[in-house]
Amino acid sequence: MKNRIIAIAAGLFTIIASLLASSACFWGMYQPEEPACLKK
Amino acid sequence: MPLSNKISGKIADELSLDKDQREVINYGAFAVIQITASLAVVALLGFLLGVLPEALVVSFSMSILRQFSGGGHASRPAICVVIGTIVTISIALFAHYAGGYLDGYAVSVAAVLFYIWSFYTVLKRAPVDSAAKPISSEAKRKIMKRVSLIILSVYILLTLLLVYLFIVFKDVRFSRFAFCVFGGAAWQAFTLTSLGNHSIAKIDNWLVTLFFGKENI
Repeated sequence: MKNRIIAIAAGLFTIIASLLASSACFWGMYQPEEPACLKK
Repeated sequence: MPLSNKISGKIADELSLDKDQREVINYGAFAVIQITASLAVVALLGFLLGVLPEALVVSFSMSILRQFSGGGHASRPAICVVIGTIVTISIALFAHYAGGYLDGYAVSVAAVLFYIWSFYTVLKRAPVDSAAKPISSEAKRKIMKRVSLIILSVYILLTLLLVYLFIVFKDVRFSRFAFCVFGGAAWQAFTLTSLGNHSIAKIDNWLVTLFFGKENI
């Protein structure tokens, strides 16, 4: 059960990160450094 | 250590992920935390001041356009939440009170003027990128600009509908929401200008000094 929750969380965060990679910036006025592998 | 690092570290350890996967999860976790914190603070303050619906409309209006148009940035996540909340609540309060006093004609004139300026600014300057996420490809810049203009066009249609509903039903909530949509869009367009960028940088510097001390600028 715990592993399943962790895997779902990992998938969710990865999807959100990928969606943000195609945008110009974050939701608010702060933009953290984008991971190098998402810049490709 | 930021909370997002703790979460991504825990997930990466449990699933034996490599450095790249860990960074991506950290980025996603950071986004979820920042979006949740920004919306929660705006919602709380909006609720306390009696402008919760207006504050949420302003917040979404600004942030959806920002995804593609970019704009000025704060140096820290906390400062971003502070500036974002002050701006959002100010526009929401203005919309709440001005929307109750103005007639359909005045709201329409204000919307037309703000949209002409916002459209021109987005057309001329979007997307405005940042050092942390530069947009190097010309093709991507063109797509970002096009999507920003499409979003702005949707806002214009939405505002027209709200003003029409306000005139027909005489319900001030429609007028208030119209203000929120074009007010949020206009602020977002302002952050694309050099004056907007400089203003955010100055406020950011001032808030960093206030909260973290001079040595942290």
